[in-house]
Amino acid sequence: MRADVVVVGTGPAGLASATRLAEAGRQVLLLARGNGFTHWGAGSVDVLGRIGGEPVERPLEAVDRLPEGHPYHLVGQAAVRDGLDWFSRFTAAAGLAHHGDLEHNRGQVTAFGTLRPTCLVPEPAAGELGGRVAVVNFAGFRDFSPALCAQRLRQAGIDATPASAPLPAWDHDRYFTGVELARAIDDAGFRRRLAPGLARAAAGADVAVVPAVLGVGRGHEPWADLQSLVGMPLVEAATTPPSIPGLRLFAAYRARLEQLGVRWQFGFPAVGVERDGDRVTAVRSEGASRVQATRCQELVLATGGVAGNGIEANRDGTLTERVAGLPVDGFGDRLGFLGTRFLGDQPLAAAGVRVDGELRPLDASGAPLLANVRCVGGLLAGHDPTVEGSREGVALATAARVADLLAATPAR
Amino acid sequence: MTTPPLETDVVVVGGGVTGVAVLRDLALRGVHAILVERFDLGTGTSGRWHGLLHSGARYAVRDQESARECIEENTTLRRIAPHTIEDSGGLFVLLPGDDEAYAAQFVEGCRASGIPTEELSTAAAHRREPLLAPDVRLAFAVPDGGIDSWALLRSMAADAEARGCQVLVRHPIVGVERTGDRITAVRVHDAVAGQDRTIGCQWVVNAAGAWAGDVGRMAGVPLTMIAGKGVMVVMASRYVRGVVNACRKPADGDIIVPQHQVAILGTTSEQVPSADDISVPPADVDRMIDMCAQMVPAIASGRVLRAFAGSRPLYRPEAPAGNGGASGGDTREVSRTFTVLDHASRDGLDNMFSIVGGKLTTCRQMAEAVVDRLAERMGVTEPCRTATEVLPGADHGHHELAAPLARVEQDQAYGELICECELVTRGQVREAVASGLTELEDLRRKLRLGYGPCQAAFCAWRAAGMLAEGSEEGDPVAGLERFLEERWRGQQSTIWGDQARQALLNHAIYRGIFDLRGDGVPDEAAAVSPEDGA
Amino acid sequence: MLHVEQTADHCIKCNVCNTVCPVSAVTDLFPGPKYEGPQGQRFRAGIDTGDSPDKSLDYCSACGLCTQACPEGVMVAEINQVARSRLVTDRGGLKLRDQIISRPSLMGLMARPVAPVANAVMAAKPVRVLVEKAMGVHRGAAMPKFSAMTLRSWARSHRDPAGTTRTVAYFHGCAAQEFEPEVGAAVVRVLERNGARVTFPKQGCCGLPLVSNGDFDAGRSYATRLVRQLRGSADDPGVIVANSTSCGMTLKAKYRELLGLDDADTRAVSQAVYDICEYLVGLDDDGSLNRSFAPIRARALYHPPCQLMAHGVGLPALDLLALVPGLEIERSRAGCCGTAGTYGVKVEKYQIAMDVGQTLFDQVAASRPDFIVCDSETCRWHIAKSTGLPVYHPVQVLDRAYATA
Repeated sequence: MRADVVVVGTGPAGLASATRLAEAGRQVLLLARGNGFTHWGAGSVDVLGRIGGEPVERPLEAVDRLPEGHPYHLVGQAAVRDGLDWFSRFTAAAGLAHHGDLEHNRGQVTAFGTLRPTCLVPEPAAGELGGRVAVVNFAGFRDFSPALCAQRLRQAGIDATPASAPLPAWDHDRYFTGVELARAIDDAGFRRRLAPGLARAAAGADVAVVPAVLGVGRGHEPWADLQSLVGMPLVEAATTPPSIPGLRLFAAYRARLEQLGVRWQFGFPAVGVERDGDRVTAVRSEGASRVQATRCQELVLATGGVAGNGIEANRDGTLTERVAGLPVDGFGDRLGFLGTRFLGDQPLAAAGVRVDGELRPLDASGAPLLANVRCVGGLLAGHDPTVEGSREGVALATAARVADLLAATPAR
Repeated sequence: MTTPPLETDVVVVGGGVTGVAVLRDLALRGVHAILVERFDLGTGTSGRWHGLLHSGARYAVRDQESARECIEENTTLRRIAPHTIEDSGGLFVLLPGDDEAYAAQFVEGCRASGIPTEELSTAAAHRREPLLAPDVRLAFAVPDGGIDSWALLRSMAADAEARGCQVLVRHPIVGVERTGDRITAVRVHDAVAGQDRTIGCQWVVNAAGAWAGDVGRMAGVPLTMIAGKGVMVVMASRYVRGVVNACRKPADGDIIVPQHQVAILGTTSEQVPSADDISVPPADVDRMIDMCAQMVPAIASGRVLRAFAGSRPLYRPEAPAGNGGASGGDTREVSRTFTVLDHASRDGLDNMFSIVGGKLTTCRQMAEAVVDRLAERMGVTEPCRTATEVLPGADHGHHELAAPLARVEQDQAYGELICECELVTRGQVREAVASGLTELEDLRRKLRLGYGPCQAAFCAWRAAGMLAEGSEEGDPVAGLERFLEERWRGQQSTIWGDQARQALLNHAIYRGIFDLRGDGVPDEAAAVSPEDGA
Repeated sequence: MLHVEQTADHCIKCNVCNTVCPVSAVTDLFPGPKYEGPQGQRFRAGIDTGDSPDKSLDYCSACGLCTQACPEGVMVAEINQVARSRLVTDRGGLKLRDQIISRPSLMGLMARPVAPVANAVMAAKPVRVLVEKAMGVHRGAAMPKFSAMTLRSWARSHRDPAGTTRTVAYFHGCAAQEFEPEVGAAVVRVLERNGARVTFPKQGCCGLPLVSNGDFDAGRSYATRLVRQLRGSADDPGVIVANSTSCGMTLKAKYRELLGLDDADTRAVSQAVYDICEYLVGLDDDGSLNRSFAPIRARALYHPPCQLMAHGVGLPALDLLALVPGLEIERSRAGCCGTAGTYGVKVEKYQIAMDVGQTLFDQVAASRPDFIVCDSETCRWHIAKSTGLPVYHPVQVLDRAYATA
């Protein structure tokens, strides 16, 4: 098999990179072991939520306070802006408009009643929690507790009351997760039957907070429709995986990638590369009975660090980058992997591949190792996307940079 | 406001299997007794071990007295508490490099101790245990089993309470009141109410296991316990159908005990100054894996869930007083059989007995031994009935691994699952909450919530939600943060590979999506506490 | 525990598999791949005296979409299949219906002498109702027609062209042999257009339907026989092409993954197997594909079978169809057409299969293509019956384009 550019990884960085590279005229093959962080996250775009544990008000400005070597410094503020602008346009065109801007972080309500700092939120999560707030679950949905959520919101000074809305009879009475419920809500008829119970549960409130399950296959339309049927603003609260807002975004990427003629190869991990000097000539991926070699001009690794399965944390404390064997600083022993507090910093999450300003991996001496390999997203060293709240921002900024670097020139 | 002082015939100190067995024995003989325990039932050695229902074969060569005790009690426990036992069987396997002469001694020792064994062909052994190392040379089947100590504790405690006895958890003993040669009362601290209480009593039974020496000291009698620490590694899945032992002189990493859905690799043996030392050195974890992988190679590349340590309560009568603080050295040479100490004859303290040493498998027998002596002195003529009276729940028969799955299937209760790894349902959580459990840690111990590979990633917060639904009080989110931090403690030595990915996903969920920072959880929580339980 | 079962270790309970399962999407009788696979696996250790506890497992269609979506490498569908084989062993083997539908070559052997009659009988509604009541094969399920002439008898009278530059062995599978020799003939012609001489090694059924239904012992005896039969071809000519997506997949990976057959001969055969489109795209990579296709001015919808994704070779059919001038291809958005081999013909699974396929059928109804293209035969029959449109194997389209060039 042949490809022009191979992108490995279908998390936020891989999807954005593949899309932007295709838009920039390259022919892209997208390879992945499976789905990525879109399916696990809060469904918003985190640019920079906290530094040293303290909440950040103005994310783009706060980038200055980040240590040298941070991916944002490598790609520059312009790439951050470009990344987010592109994303805003892309999602708006796909019926998934987002609110927010790089000058201000906002608080996104979560199922725990916390307000997580983030930069862009999809419309259904963007409503203001002013006045009386009804926190409403759909009866039987296990991943949302109105009592828990309301209690925390009240601690933050929000007038929140828990409630429960019954579900109309449907074909998943016995067992459902957020995905089945979201699919049901895609159906207009189901929404019409759902709305009255939801309205009654939230009666007397100015706004209702519900779990993020309002449709999965029709963008924000189900949310908008349900909101108008109920007659009050509905705000989606982020909950545990699977992330329904993330699934909506993934579907939008999928459709766009198909439109752009990007080839997918899903379900088989990239397991190695073939090199000629300082260039990668092919990517090797597992097939059912043989390893496939796909010749390529450029390779973009968006494999997500340890969390994304792009880097293996070995028993002896060393780390191994799984596709091209790129150097990754390990630890003296595995006791260095994780912090003493679960909710604290985790050194393993910040581990990654060190790159130059063009996102090319560096060797131990700091010289670029491979001329046609770029690393994007969580795979990069120098940042912990969870603790600082920067996952999607780094993904989009590095995708912007890589698209810029590898855009098709007229001669190609 | 002061609570009225308590009065009883017997105070039993220690909420491990020995203490609770003593309480039950007393209850069955019509004696009123109160058990006091510093943390919760089974937070000492009884909750920090590998779960082996001994056939006794491990002692067949070197300690036939212990071996005989074990096989007798193995049979008895299967009769009175089958619901706490998995009838999984066990194997002793000879690997290349093991001494064949030992195998011959093993067979003879089992025969002499009354332990039924059967030699299996290697083909039969591999059929029974498909993951067994291909180079196993000999294999012997023995009636080992797996026993759930918390289930046993709950059952025995329930029986005792139903007959009028009392269990006071979170009531550490802080002292005794002694008049001449007699203890007249035991002083405890009610950790929940935050005040001391006095329990007037006629007799005291010290069943504090590895901490018996501390209790002895409080009572003014010298008693030296040696803490023989053992490290155990929990694999994320079961690997083996039954217990697999190496057929050699007991050494590190020579046993794999399946317990419910996991396999426990054991163990080490190191004398430590205090039984409260439950730290797990990473090198010990590596050693367990490497050694046990000789018997089941798949373990070398398998996923480790966690590791924990506990101390064997060893009593060496000839150890000079005050030398309990020694460390190092293999403690395997110390006999595993038990001793009843009558402090009247030994130390001039008329009304206290200590029951020390032993192993979980023989807890009932240990209780019988000490209660027989006590009953004689009390003038109680009721004989011991603990071997014949079955425990509540025994009618369910042996615990079956697939039972939770079968129940969910039968009820089609897929949508009711709160803890998916361990198949804990909403109904079970509701019932537990209704019975008075208010902490996630209690739900964990009672229901196995959070025991599985995902280490409470999803169930912890679902359960916290249910606790929040149940009560307006408290701060369920803070409770959840505490729970997560408690579960995290001491895990650094066992997290790599799959478990590292799990840890980072969990971190991304709680810290990243939910923005929890654990501000309310104090920092000294960073060290593992004996209170935590394995 | 086979290797696939140990992949359950990788599960981090992230729920991604549950988001792609087409069966749990349409019925709550099936609680999803995470529950059945890596989660249920921890409760199955074969020590208990009772039956396997997990009846809901039976609803897994083994489409494999979960395995593909899992970011951690858990082979969820395969874990389910191994667990199902234990369920079957506990039950004392397959029930009669499953035994019959799992042996297409046997069915063909019996029906062929009377093919026209057999086909007419099976098309009659009252007969189908009876068959449903007696055997549990749904009256509405697509049933292929027995061919009076087998592929091999066609091959016997087919003359090799002159001037061939390569040799390729053909694993045709039961479908091409018994039901659709025209597909097999197209494979041969297309290969010949590319300078290949096609050999027909003696071969039996690969055993996939038995394996899918959970009879691993019977599957193993079919497997070892077929490996013996194809072993020589694995060395010479060294290329074995298959047009049946699932049967090719069985040879490539399922003998090893599910049946635990990992000897040198099985490996040699599995490494020599290519899906026909995969093989042709390989020729194209080397610049040796015959690209002289005449235009086919039509609109077609291509549905990649779920099992094709499991080959890990991308979508070679799309690359090939793109070479035919005038042919507009729309890609199906459905992950699975629903039938999943013999799953969808069973009376208790039929509606689930139809519900799973609804996404595809709706897309077809909205797009109104002239025909549909799909690599897998059971999918073709199911889609044809449900949409009323002709459904072709990609190689049949290429054959047509070559022929009119």
